Amino acid sequence: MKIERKQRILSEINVGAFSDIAFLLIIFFILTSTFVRPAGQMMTIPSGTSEQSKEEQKQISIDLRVDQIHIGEEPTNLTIEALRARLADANLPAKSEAQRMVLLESQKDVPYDRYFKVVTAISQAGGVLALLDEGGKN
Amino acid sequence: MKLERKKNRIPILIPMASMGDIAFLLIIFFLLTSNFIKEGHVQIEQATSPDIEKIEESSVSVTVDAEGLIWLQGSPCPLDVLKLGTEALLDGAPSKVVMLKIDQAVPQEQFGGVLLELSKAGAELALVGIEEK
Repeated sequence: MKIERKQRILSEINVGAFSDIAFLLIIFFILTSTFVRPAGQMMTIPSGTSEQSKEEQKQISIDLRVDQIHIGEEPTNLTIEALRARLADANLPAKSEAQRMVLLESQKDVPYDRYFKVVTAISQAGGVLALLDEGGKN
Repeated sequence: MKLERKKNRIPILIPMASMGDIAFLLIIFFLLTSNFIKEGHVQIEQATSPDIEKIEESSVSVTVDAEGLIWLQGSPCPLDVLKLGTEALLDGAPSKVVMLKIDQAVPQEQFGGVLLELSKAGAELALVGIEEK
């Protein structure tokens, strides 16, 4: 006896809508994402002791207070703009690594916004920041 | 004259199956290469300065909120374990950069210790701020 083969129906899953869903997902993620490019200032804090060599004594030191900024022992109260000009005049990028160091002593009640302005001004002028803490170490 | 229509038209089918694969590969690529902000729940008002430039992005971040609370990778972290926690995160990392975000009102008394602990951990600090216009 001869068995007749049934004619098979070619079955195919329609996947066309699949790509639509995937592309809709991509569009959703792109539109709902917030792309953040961080901005600020890089800062490397060198470690060391408070012992001062002769070369270190030539470094710029800044005394930062809530309403005042002083350079070294000078009694003149500087604004941030004036400090920026003074740092630019010092031509720090042309100096040696040790002389480029700027010692920053900040009072405890100085808000971060003011501190940030001074730190970014020092970095922008080519200075290397050295922090002075209470223990006398930077 | 009567024009005869061609019979037996061949239906044109564009294979769309691979399009879905490409789209999903794109989704996977974007998910893997994205850096998700871990401390999105910590609300801070960033400091401003005119001397701002683009900084290197890092996966390690430390945030100090307005109340002086320290957050390492979005989780609260006391000051005395900040050095250890940062060292563990930086160990083996290709970059030693730590992104530091501090609320603009936090006094030096609170953020000074954070700067010192991070520098002791060997981190290169990227102070995050907004450009002042």
